Amino acid sequence: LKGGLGPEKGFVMHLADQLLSAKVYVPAAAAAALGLSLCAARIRRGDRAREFFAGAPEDDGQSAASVTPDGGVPRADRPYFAGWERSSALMGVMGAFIFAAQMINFPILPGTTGHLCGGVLLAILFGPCQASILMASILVVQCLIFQDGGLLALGANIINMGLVPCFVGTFVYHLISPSRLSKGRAAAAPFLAAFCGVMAGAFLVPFEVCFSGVAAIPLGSFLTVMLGIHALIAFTEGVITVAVLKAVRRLYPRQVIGGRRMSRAAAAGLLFATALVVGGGLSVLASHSPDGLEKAVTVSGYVPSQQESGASGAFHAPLPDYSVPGLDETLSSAVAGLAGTAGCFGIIFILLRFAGKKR
Amino acid sequence: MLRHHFHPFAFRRKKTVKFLFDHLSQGDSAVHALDARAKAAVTLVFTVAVVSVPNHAVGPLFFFFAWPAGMMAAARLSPLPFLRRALVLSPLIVMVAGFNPFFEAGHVVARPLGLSITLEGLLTSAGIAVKFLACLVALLVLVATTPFPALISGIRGIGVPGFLTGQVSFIYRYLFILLSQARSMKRARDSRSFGWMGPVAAFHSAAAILGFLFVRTLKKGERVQLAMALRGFAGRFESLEERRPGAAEALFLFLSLALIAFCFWMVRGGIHA
Repeated sequence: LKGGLGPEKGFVMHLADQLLSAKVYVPAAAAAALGLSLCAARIRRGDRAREFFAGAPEDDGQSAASVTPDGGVPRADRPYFAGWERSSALMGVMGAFIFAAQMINFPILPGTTGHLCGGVLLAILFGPCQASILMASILVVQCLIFQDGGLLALGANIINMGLVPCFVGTFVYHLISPSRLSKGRAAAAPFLAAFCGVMAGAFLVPFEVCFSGVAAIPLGSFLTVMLGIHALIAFTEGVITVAVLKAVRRLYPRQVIGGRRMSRAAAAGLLFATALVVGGGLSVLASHSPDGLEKAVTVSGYVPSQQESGASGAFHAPLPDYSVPGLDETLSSAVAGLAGTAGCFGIIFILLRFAGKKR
Repeated sequence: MLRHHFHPFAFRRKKTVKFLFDHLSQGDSAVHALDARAKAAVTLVFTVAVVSVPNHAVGPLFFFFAWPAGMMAAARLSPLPFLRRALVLSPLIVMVAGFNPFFEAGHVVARPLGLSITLEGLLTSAGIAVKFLACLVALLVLVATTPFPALISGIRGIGVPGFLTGQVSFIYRYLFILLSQARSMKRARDSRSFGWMGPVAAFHSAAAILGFLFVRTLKKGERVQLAMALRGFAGRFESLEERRPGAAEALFLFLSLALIAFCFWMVRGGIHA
């Protein structure tokens, strides 16, 4: 665990080429390329990466009289350097900052030290698109100069440590923090953003490795170990992100602003997407071992009769035993998980609509 | 200061920078002179070939070392630093591959402490280790024989988009300057605290250092941005040097790809297939 917890090294999560097979690294590289191109297009188009999560900008009368170096008038709802987002020179220097920041280590537990990973901090300060591209270029440098990770695993690493933490972090940050930061939220929003960002990236690693089929660690235990270790790393990341934001705010009060309240539709859509991913992923995991009820039934020797088992009789379960006929076991349970999650969301959504109408 | 601006490796003798292999790229062998695109492409093909070797074929994997070994010999590089670097980077992969003997199904060869170790698992673990070494050495040969700016234009040539390579060039350009700044701040902190602080104080100090470093870097970045804008920089690096791949590159590509294809054929069963 030298990587994440030691000084002067990259992250613990860098996947190596040898642990992935073509059926993972090719789609991962394609997805990373697509995501980064979308981010680049977004930055090129509007310079307003932060507005990805928000509706129309609102003017609360705080806009400063000064003019940002790109000629735009700064608004209160975007950070001081939002106008710089197009400027690759500044962003490149900030990428080098992340390397330098990783040198500053501090103790977590006796004997171990932690350092900043930086993705979510960049995402909060510069917006998720710019931060993703910065993290991707940092990963390219780490791959070529420091040999962390490999050429083929670069796509997967960009997803795990760039795109996912940056976007998840921004989402959480905007979900929690309203336009005016109270003191508690100013600490809670970046902390939870960094924590969730790092954990979301770590969550993907076992799936990528196990789906490749080279390493033979069982998915469940790998997931437990990975999330366990990363809970510590993510906690540190969260605390240091809060502290650095606080320090930056003290030095440059206008540079750190609160997120804006997300539109309800955007929040619901993103929560739904997260739930789909988690539901689909976890149902793959769940399919291999019986759940508590099934286990209890097996142990107690109770065998449900044909009439009671639900597969026949008056009521047909739509997806018997969480599987879809005609697909192989893993895929079908993933599909069933997705369908179940979508169904639950639908029911909750309808219930909430009714509840809202009554009031 | 000026010196740093033109020579990022002016202080390359320091320990942190020395292990990076980058300083070796200033050599003048035939391999160093090859086009970066050709070297990057062959390294990519080599990595794909090594990684796609089936799990249990360990023996034939060793044929693959012929390519990096040949490159090292032609570039007059010593293999020892390469092996040392591989050793430094290995713990994580050893940890992940170390589970294979216990979890992979197959013929059980030993049962220590109630766990069963399988032959197939051992072979897979050994295969992962050998593949790791081969891919790492190939990547290191690429880095050690190609100056980084040329390498960046090389990976741009094989399809990495320009917005990424532009950022990478800037990161590389300022990486060592900022690393030395961070190192001196860290040294100042450590010498004032005699190497030990209470955890809360250490944490506050790290946060303050990082915040200050951030703002300082931001100011530096703004100056750089303005300076580049004044020079007419519009987000794209242009190179006046237009070097066309020639006969040397063609020969290199032919020999390397033939060698890799031969190795892969040996893996697939060789003469007996």
